Amino acid sequence: MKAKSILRTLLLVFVVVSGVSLVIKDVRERSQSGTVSEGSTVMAATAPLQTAEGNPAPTKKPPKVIAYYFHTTFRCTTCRTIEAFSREAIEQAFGDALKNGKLEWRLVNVEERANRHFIQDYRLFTKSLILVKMKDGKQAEWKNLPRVWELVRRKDAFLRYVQDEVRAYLEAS
Amino acid sequence: MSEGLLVPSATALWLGVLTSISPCPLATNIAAISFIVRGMSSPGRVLATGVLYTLGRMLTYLILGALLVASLLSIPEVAMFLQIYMNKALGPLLLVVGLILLDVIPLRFSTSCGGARVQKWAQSAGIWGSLPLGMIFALAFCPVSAALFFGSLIPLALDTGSSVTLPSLYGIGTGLPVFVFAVLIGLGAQWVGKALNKLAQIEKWARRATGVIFILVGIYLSLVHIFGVPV
Repeated sequence: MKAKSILRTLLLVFVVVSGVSLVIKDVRERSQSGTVSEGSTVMAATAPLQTAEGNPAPTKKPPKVIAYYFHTTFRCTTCRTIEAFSREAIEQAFGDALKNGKLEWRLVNVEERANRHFIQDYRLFTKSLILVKMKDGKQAEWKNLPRVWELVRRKDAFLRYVQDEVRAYLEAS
Repeated sequence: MSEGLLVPSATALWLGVLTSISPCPLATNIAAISFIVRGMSSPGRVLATGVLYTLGRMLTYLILGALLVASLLSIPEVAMFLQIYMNKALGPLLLVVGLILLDVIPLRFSTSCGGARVQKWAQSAGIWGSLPLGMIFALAFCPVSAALFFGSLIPLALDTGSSVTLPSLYGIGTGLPVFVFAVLIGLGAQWVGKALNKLAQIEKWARRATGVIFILVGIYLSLVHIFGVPV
């Protein structure tokens, strides 16, 4: 009887702690939503640069491609595999482009409030690999690579798919 | 059903089955199976619980699908909201339900006013409880189910203009493997119980196991989704 009541108390404490921690995390994230995160780079890059006088600065940034992998705080096994394969595909085939800045690899947690805008920006409905083409410091176009989910159990096909898509974007930029 | 809708319908059903057999909803599937199996003394009860569980899932996807196809809801917002918040809420909820099933948190009903009717309702709630259980579990999207539902099923429903049939078939597909598995386990356990003449005892333990499984799944989901413990 005593063991039952100890167990009941422990489990109820766990329920309460879980609920409270859920609320605290949410409140903390809301209060931190104003801070700059890695995800805000696209927003900054899309807006034209301003000079001290307020006139648009001449933007002669070289074109580049950004490969984003968007995830949430919870990382499932398949999601980790997609991230690892995507990264491998890019590093394996585009080492030079990564070094000279023509290609960038970025990981973004969309659960962080400052990054939530990406959900609407790129119509995200699950963990996704998105390619963004930047021209003159502005986002020119973007593309979702939805077949990563379909090919995740065929590594060779997965790597080829991602490399073909990235190559096509790099060549066209 | 018109011939044009036959292939999309089969696809929707198959997408549902694929969702159900993917590893990510494994924890909730185990909880659902244990809930359906617990009434094993009566095959009718197991079947009814399984059917209502599948119906619950179907209703959720039907409502969600209809709202999304009619563009009353934004796909990205709904998809990410459910993935971020539903799994977090599900952990503590399952824990509480598990404690109720084990009678650690007793639900007391007044016997002075229609007590017999309330008691009867409480007994039958075991069967009817599977309907909201199916509805809630269906809302707990994981990355794979979100990719299949929002990325494959909804575009298919939009293409064919089928906001009722395809999401409903998808819902049936997601419940089907759990239903078949639970019924097989339930009937198998009943057969063993009858053969050993210990059906009542096995059922008593099955009921307790359901409560324990709900608590374990609740703790697992809370640790992973609220406290960020890596899996």
